[in-house]
Amino acid sequence: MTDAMKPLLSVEKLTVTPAAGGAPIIDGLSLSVRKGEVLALVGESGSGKSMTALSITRLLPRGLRVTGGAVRFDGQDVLAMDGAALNRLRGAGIGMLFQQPQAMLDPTARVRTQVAEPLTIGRGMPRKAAFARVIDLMKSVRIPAPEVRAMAYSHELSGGMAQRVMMATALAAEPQLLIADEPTTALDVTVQAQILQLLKAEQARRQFAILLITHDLTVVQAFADRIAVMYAGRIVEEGPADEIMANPRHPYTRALIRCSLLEPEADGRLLAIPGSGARAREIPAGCRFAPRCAVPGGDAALHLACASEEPAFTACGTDHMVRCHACAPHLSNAASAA
Amino acid sequence: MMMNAPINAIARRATPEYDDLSRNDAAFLSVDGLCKYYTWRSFRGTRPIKSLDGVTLRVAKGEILGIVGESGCGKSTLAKVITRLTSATAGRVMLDGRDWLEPKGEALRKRRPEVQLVFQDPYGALDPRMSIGTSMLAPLAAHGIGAPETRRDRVLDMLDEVGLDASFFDRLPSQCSGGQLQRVVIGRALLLEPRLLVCDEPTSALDASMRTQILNLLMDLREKRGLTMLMISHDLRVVRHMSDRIAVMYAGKVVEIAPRDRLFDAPAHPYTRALIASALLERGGIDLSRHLREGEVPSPLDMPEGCRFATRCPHAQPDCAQLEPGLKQTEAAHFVRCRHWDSHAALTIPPQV
Repeated sequence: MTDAMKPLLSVEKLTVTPAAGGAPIIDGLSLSVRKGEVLALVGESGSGKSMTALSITRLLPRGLRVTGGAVRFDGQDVLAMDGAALNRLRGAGIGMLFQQPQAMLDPTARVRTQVAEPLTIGRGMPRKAAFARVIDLMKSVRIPAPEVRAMAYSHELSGGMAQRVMMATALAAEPQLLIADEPTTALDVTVQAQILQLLKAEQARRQFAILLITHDLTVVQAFADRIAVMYAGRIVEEGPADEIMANPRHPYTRALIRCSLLEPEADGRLLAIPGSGARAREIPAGCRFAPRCAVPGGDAALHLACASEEPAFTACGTDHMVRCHACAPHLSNAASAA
Repeated sequence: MMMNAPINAIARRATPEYDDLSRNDAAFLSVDGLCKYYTWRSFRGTRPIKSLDGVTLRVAKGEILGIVGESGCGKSTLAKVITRLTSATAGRVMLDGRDWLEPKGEALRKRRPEVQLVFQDPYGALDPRMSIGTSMLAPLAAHGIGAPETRRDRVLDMLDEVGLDASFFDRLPSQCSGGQLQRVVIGRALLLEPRLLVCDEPTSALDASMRTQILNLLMDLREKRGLTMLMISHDLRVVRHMSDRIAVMYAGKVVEIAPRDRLFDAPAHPYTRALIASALLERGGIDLSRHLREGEVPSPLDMPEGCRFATRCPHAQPDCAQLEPGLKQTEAAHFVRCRHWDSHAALTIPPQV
């Protein structure tokens, strides 16, 4: 195994359960991010994608607990780390970008103080040297007039600028992995494209890995190397980005791609997935997507399998995995026909 | 620039120049030179915040006009003025030949059913402690529509029409998904049989799979009821699917307006091209530099004298910053607010849609 293929982050059979009891919201989830790779974790609201990100950095809200599985980052067991080790992990190991950049910035501190924090607190760099470095970082994320903006407070920044400041802060610590949880959802479309372009350029230059969490399939194709699609706490399909977008195997992935494009079907209507996203408390016995799935059609054997037994995560191509009975060779070819 | 003149006087001077658009007086909804200036006060005096600055639009009966633009472009202010949730600073709105900005008080209340709004956030548009049925009965009672004993049936019929069964009547909003609540909000608006339905980002708060359900529902209702709609969204894909014509707004002005296919086949304004390129990332990779310079949207407190897009426009010429461009006609129903549209339209091939 070459160095590039070695997973930087590996999550194995992660299970997250409400502390008060009840069904797990993340159920035996496994994924891995290799060095320098961009993995997009795609899913709709309630699928558990943000909670996956928070479990990786041990930031789960009160009331949720990791009840099974392992998270390993660069060979270390994250779930066993004490406070000091976690502080080293967050920032220098794993940087994070969130959806609401304005809410993540301290309204009472100047921009430069916040961008410098990973340097002054994390590495004990003197403030003066750190502030000089801050200007360089702000230039690298293409903030116009960085000397002026360094003295600004967060309320003086637009959403796009605030996200650039967050990016500069994350990059200051030179993380090996950046977890970006819907980093552009709150931004305007033109600004969104600029931020993604910038993130991709920095990633190519500095060679860190990115775990991009998003509900928007349209942003991932141009951005990600691999895509993992999440539904109701499970990964249902995973593979190279081009392969998934060109040849999606899971009915949910296929429908999601059509829904995101908003291109009318032959009858002029948009493809709609009936029903609402499955919540943890109403998970069906068999395949979790079965109640909304159109694939089995009249195939009785397939119907029975989908309703009674959860499909295994099986290979369906090079580096391409899917969790669907219809894609399994011993059952019908309904999936490819649909 | 400090203003001593009353804000209305400034707004009146900004009344637009485009005759070609205004000539069509047969329109069902006609908006002329509509301005909404909010007032920014400080110890140094007051300044106008030009949220909406001379918007002129025509909508035919049964037509869906899409309005697309980014945050701060004035599209939601336009929705608020047209639904009479806020006053206009200047300009005129005519609804089927009658002045729609003139009625006040009780006269306005009586006419409110004519124009209804579908909000972006269905959770915020419904009282969490009121059942769906009660929420939908309220506007019927307020406007005295139908005999009290028939209102429940009307609501049940409407629930059915928007694809919800009778069990929703007694449910609370917390027992429904976002998509179901948006159906309720649409149904509640339609109960008043509006002549104009204004949808302000009706699907932005919804997941991709819910979004297509709601868009299909709106298209069905349009066909069935012949609805006239304003479809306001930041998402070009939504507007493209829904609209007959599309108006692109930037910094309080309409910068381009064209029939749907024409706008995508031959976008004439550089901002429209940047929007299309950004919205269709998956097709062309992420390279926006051709369409957009790194720069900031001008502040509504301090609008530039010249073209408002000049700070971000890759084709900006020195004269762009001097004088505000008027709306020019490129083709029958296609108007663009750019002085140099014919010189760069040929340079930049529109992204393939």
